[in-house]
Amino acid sequence: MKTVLVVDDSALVRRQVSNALKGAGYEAVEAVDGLDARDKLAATPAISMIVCDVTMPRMNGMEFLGSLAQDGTFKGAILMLTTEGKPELIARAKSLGAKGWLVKPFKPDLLLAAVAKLAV
Amino acid sequence: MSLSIRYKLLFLSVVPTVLAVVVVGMVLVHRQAERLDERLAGKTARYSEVASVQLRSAVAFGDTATAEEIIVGIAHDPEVTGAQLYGANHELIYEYGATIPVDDPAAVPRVMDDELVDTAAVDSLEGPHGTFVIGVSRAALHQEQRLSYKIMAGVAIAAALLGFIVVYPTARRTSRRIRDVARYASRVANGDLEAAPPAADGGDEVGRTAAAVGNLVADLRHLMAQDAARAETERERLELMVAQRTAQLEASHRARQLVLDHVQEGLFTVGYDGVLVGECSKATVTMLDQYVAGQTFASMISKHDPRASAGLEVGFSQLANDVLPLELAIDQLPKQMTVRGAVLAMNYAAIGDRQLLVTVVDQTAEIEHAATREMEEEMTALFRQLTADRHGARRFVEDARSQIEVIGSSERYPDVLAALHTLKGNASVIGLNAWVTRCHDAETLIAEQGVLTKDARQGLVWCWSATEASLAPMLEVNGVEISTRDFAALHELARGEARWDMLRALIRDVVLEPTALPLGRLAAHCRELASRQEKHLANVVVDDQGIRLDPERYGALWSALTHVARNAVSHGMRADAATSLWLRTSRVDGDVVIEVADDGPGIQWEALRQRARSAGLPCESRDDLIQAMFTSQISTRDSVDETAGRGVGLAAVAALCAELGVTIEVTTPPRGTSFRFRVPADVKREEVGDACTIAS
Repeated sequence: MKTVLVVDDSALVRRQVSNALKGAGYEAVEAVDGLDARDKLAATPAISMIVCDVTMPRMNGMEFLGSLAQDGTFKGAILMLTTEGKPELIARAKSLGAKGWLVKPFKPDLLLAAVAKLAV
Repeated sequence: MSLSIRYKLLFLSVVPTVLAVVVVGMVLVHRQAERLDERLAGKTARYSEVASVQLRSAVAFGDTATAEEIIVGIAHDPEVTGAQLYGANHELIYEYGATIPVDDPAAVPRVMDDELVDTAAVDSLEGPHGTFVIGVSRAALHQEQRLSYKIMAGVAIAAALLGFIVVYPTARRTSRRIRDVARYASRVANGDLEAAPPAADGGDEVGRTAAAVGNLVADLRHLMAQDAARAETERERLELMVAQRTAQLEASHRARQLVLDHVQEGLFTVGYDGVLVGECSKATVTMLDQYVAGQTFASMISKHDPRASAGLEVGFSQLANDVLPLELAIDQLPKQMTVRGAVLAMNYAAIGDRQLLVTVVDQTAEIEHAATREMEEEMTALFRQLTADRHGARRFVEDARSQIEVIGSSERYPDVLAALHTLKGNASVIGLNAWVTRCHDAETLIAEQGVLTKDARQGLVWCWSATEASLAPMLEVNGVEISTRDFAALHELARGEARWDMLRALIRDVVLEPTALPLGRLAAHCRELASRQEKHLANVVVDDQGIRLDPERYGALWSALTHVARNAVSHGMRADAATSLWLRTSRVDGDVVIEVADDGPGIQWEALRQRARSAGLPCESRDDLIQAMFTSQISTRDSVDETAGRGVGLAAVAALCAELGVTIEVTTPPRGTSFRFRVPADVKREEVGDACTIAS
């Protein structure tokens, strides 16, 4: 079973994504921000993909991506969650190694399609 | 080097003849020489025979004179070149003519080049044996041979000449004819089919070859003519087809162009790389200001809507990368843009060949229409509210004004969230669904992005100004309103012998608001909410006990109680279990108690405790937890919907209650939850005394 790390400071979004993933047979690990995500990533080696929000307290999505890029240890796909109004963030996220992004609010089936294509 | 055929023919015809002549001549000369040599040999044999007999005495006696006589006699023969007679001891007895060397007399006769030499033994009767040697000239033979050679040469030359004379014209003619055929074939090979064919005369092989080549070329010309005719027919057919197809294409192009010219939507195709492909509908140019195939969609609209342009750029880059599923990548493309003030909606459909069909619809009018309709609906709702419950409407407007003030200017998000939440609840009670949606959207933005942009806030402020401006005329009330029933009661009191204090109380009471009105509003709202959330609300019991409260002072409290009532529906009810709701006002020790109670599952203490703990709040006792429940950011709900779950509502209620001196009691009877708000007695304003009886 593939494990996906869901990083979002909004409990609502986390729950939404996790529920969708679990419904499709994935294992979901939740993290509330970048720092938490780093801890969860270290504690759960099975994580093969990350779904990550951009705006978060303590360590935001960009900083988190940057730290992952610096470590170079995480080899899985990263899917960013963002809002339509932030194309420049998307461009930066891509340069930091994000595979793609989802505009919020998103349809769960599309999220699953993206995860199915990206998770390895 | 190759010889021309005429020389070959000449060579082949002359050389063998000459060779034959030479060979035959040689054979003849040889046989003639043999015959001559035989004749000479016979001659020498005869002379030797004569000499061997006649010279016996000369040998026997060395008689030179005899020898001379006989030998000279023999030498009369002109062919005899010399003769010698040797004695027994090989001493020369007589010699005539040239000396003939005789080394070994036994070896003779021998044929030498010039002469034939023969030797004969001369055995004398007396004993000595001599030797006679005679040489005969072969000059005659040589002469004969030379003559024969000359004749042979003459014959050979004559034969050669004859051969040349006879063969050369034929060879030349044949050679020419063959050359003509060859030249003709060569010209034909070079493509000159019109050259005159060689004459097919003579009936021989060359003539037949020439005829065959001529026929072959004629056939070829015929075939080629047929081919050319067929090619011409085919070309005409193809040209016709092309013309027909072109006409069809033009017709279809015209038809398509007509569609493209008259279709109302902007229609065009874009590659996955974001580059515009081919034609577009006329409306596209009108809507987008321009359309340049080969440019990117993003660059074309960048000067009108930079944000949508940037969205298109990243959206198409994602599409081109094939990273996400196609449907998802398409879904992420911007759906709306603004060009010269017009709001354009974009729809994308994959049409294969890595291209999308983009449909652009101008939604400006629709949006304006929807805004107008929304405004009208708002007005209708407010008007309905105004006619039914003017206090309630005025209260809503006043509350909303202060909430909008906070939303528009506060830097503290908890305050903004609280204001939005309260406004949402109030709007829901009044039936202003547009405002419910607006507030919920703004709350969602804050929750998900942590930001509510200045533009978004200003938008809400302007929107509210419009709502309020259209309401203002209806809200202005001069003087005191009195219900028909109150007026009848008052009239009744005044006409009878009413006690003065009773009359005074009633007059004072007239301006107070019966709690039946706000309780009724709450009940209506809960029913509506329960049906929207598909909760099984079995019964709403409203019990006002004829109590009235100052609408000015407690207006805000009633607004805040909306949250409590909404919580009761959202948390206290389930879809699968029938739940009742009680909305009551009662009097306890002079204070007015407003109660919102349900018989649902009650407060989920454990969940509340966890949340309080993670928020760092005290969570030991029930009181701690109840305190926590009235704190911002605490909610036992896992999900947020437009009615509850953000943990803001109860905090706003608590803050207001503290301000008004209202105490809150939360009890959890065996079933359900009860929120009791104890409004302190204000004897001056709220003492209703007997008027209450009259009012009810």
